[in-house]
Amino acid sequence: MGSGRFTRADQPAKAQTFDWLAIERSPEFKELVATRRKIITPLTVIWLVVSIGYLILAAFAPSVMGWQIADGLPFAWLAAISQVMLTWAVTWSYLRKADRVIEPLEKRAAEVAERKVEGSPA
Amino acid sequence: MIVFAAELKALPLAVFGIVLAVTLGVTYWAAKRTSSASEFYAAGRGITGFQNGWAIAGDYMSASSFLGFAGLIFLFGVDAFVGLMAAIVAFVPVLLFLAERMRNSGKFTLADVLSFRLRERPARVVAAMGTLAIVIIYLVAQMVGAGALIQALTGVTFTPAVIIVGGFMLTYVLFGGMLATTWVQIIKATLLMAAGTLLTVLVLAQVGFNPLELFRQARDAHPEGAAFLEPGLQFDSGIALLSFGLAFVFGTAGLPHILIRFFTVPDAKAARGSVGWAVFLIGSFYLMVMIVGVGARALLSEEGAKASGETGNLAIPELSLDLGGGEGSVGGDILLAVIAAVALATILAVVAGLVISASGAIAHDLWSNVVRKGRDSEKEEVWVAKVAAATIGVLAIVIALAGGAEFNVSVLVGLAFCFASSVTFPALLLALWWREFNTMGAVVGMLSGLISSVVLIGFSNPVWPGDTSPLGSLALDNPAIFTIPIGFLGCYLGTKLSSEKGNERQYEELYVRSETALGAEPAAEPVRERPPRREEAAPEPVGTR
Repeated sequence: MGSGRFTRADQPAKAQTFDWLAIERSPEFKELVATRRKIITPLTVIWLVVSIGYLILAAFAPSVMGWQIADGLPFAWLAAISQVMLTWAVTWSYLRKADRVIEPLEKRAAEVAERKVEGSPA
Repeated sequence: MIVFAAELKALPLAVFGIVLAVTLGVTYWAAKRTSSASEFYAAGRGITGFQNGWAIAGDYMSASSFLGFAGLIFLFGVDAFVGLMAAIVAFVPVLLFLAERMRNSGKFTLADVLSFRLRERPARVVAAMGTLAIVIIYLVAQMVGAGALIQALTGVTFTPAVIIVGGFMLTYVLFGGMLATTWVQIIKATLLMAAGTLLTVLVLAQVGFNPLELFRQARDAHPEGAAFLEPGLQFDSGIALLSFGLAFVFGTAGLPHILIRFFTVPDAKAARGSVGWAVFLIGSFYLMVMIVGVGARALLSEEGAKASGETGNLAIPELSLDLGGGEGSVGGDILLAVIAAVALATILAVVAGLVISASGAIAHDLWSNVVRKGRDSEKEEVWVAKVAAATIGVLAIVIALAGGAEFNVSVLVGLAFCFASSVTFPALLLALWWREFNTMGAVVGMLSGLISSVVLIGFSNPVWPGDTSPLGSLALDNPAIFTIPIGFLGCYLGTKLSSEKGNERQYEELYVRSETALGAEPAAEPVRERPPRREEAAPEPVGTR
């Protein structure tokens, strides 16, 4: 391998003993990845649409961005606030699902992999 | 002879002194707990998610967030909201794609993640180049901004101000490593949030806590009137705005000094949790910056508006002077001194984080893993990291002093974000998510992102000699809209056109590790006293390779 990655004493030696391919093919790992993807994909799409949409409105739709909803209430301010709300909502939603749904799957996939290492003769 | 001080202002200097003394105390405390490589680069991975969230906020929000953006809002109105908002939504990809995966598969630097599955030496060399390009430019920008600000706020002139900032930065990093840097960032974030809240309340109190009244007064006070509440004042064209925004939206996820913060926490759960705290703090602060920036326009007297400078950088200090009771009043002086000290703390925290990330790129990537191929001792690596930090720090001080106030700070910061979005971000994202990606792809992608950014910025109006660039309306101050696709395209073409086969096995390992945290770097034991030096110097066991 010619790599310095595993040469240091402070590296966990166990890392080298995992059969990564077998873990990747295990149903537990597949479920973990599929679940995470199912959570991340819609959040990414919402984020892209809202944030890039905001930039495009600001760049090319001055009439929309310049709309004065009331005297002293520019649409541009509400649009800006919406970006902070978007960030908070996406972050909160991901953190919640990561704790409740992803973490147990993560633990299970790791446990199955560790059991395999202990059980193997090598 | 250099003039060291024009007209010293005693009160701001005294408050500066208090802030500096506290940070030195923290550094002394941290120095006793910093000796191993993992302690120097990653604070022993013992920072909690909550602490790391504050530290990320302290690392990310530079003086340009606090004074710069508020100044731009003061000058250009709602058009300047865009930069702030692009800078906050940028944390979504950091959370969804990178935070946990960095923690699970990396050690000290971005290149750790890339070199996991790519050929180590070329991957580390280009990743380190990208990191250094981003960090040095960002560092010089902060130094120049610091020099100008300190001069305006305390009367200490540019040259000694830059040297003082550089000196403190190096003190934190060399003696206290990441632990001192982290706590300086946490202290700074606390001060910044407090100052932001105070100013927001004071501004809103002036208009009976009715933001609409604030917007109306700002519109009436601005020379362009109604245009203050409409887009179009800050940016020359829609493309310019879009490109500037994209650099921030995708650049944050490629900033080395932000991403290495995820190595300081014990596990992936703390890494993602820290992003939660960071976006809460940064988002709240940006909401307040909008009010304070508009407030500066609404409330500043004509004199104050003039004193805010061409860049608007001094709008907040002027506003705090006014809100405290005006020039010469005790309240005004105290508030100004506090705001000035917060600005100083802000700069110190950011530059310290930048220097640590640069020292990792040099010592861990280039020296330890490329030159010495992992045969050096840990003690040697830490020693090289400190030499590297000192060198980078001195280099940044020299460049800042040589260029002086000639450098346009916002051009430099834009360039750093442009590099981050088109050099490090594409390669990092593809290394984690694209099975076929290979070394050639990473090298070609990062180099094409880097070169295209440098060339296009060279053609931009602020840099091109003479006023009009040959690119006409396509000459953008921030060319990210072109360079991000070029960076991704470089990664794609390099991968597809090379005969090199991607290393499947190593991709599987990276993939599994990044998803499950198997084999992730362990957190250090609870912080301990400095171990006897002799033990560390023990020779590496023979034949570990």
